[in-house]
Amino acid sequence: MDDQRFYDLVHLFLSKQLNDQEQAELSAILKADAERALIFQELTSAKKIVVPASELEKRFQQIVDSPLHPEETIETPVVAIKKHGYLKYAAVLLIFLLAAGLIYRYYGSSKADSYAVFMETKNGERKEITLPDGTHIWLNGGSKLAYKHSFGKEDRDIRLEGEAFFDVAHNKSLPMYVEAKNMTIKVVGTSFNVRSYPDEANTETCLVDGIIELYVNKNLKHGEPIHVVPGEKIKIQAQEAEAETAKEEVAVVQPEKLKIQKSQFLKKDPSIQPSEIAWKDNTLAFDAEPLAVIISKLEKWYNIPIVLKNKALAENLVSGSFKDTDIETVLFWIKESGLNLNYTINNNQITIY
Amino acid sequence: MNPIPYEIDWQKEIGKINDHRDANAFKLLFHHFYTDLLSFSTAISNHQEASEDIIAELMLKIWQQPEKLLGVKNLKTYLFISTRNLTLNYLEKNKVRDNYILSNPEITQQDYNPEDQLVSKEIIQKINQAIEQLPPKTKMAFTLVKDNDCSYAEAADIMEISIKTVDRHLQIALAKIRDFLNR
Repeated sequence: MDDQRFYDLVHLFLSKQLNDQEQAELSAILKADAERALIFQELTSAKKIVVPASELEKRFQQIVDSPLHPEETIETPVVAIKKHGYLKYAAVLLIFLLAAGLIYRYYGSSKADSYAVFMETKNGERKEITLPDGTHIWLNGGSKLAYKHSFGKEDRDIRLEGEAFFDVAHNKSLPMYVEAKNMTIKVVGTSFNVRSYPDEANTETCLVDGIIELYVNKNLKHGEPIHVVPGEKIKIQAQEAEAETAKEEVAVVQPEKLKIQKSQFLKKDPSIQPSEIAWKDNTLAFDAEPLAVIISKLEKWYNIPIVLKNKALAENLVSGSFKDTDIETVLFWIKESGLNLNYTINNNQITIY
Repeated sequence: MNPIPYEIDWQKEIGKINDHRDANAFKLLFHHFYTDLLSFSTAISNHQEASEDIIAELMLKIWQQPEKLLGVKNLKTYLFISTRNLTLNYLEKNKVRDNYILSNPEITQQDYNPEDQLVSKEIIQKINQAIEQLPPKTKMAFTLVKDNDCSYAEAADIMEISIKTVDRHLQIALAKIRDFLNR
């Protein structure tokens, strides 16, 4: 592997211009070469001077408690520095240099409480991401994901809006918390899918492997978590939404009035890919889902607004599985399956009537 | 539901500081920017103690004269430009040649952690040395993009240079680090 190419890829990474192909190329290099992986980490991860929280608080208080000197502060932004002699200063510089490496070796961040790294997909777009701790994430269309600079070091907190499949790197001492609409999931190492779009009434969590604890309403301190085992799907439904064929009702939580349902999503035949997680293999699949839900999925998959004129169709259940299929073909098959619908496509909008 | 906080509305927070000296709003600002600005200033000054004074002064100004920030559209850029200017003024005042000593690799090549012979530590040390020895502007651009999560556009605004020049600095930085590592 050409050294220059590696540095070119680092350059592209820093400039945030890495495309999917280059991302894959870079990932392959980092996997194959531990030394380059280390160099990459050092050249791309933020390093800042670490000020202990107590010291930071002290400096904050000093400023808040300072007496007001309007004239001084308005006119000149004078810097209060100690006057060192030149040699003295050089000595300080030298000492600093010796210490600099040590100071800069701390990375990550004092901004432990703020989300700082953001990933986003547009409608119609899907991305595969590897996080600093080795966790692998597939991000479906129209989704946003955020984590902190301290991710993988001090915490593993993630916020999600939209849909993502998580293959979480195992780390018992640093659990991952995934916060989504009206819930937080605690995991140690496992794989699961979360669908939680702001414009959809339901939040769905499907566990493929491992164990997760699901806290409704992000209530980590009070309230018991729901323990989820592989094959289970937890659906959190906002109360005002249309009721659906409930399998087993688990609880109704105040005050947001959420209805929580548990069901099985894995098929008896393991060769059949469940529709909930087929998307990460570029397959659009529905398993007896209401047309209204399918329309929301189609909009995000094909990045085109769809208007349902005939509301009577909304609750009709549709099944199907599509790979590399254009939207017209999907609509054609839905119609073929026996649903009495017609549609027009124009002005970058689809109307179903 | 909680939307992802893509950005804190700083105009709103500045408004709170200005209207009723809201210490919580100022605390948010202080905690959000303090270490970023201190690290950035120190990268320019090579003198953490002096940079601590510089950032304290800047924060004091914000707390005591928030009205000056009312019209600021991009707080991050504003604070980084202020920090850059204050730090350069400090260097000018103290007539410090910014790459004095730094240009002399022998001095920095000392091993400050001699008992540790691990290869990975050596690489990390070498990278840190290489970054330390970058030319001032190149180092500034590299620091902004790498450590302060600045986009090229933000770094260009802060340094008052073109985006293309930022890219060029990054290219120079990586070439120099690569040379240093392969030496």
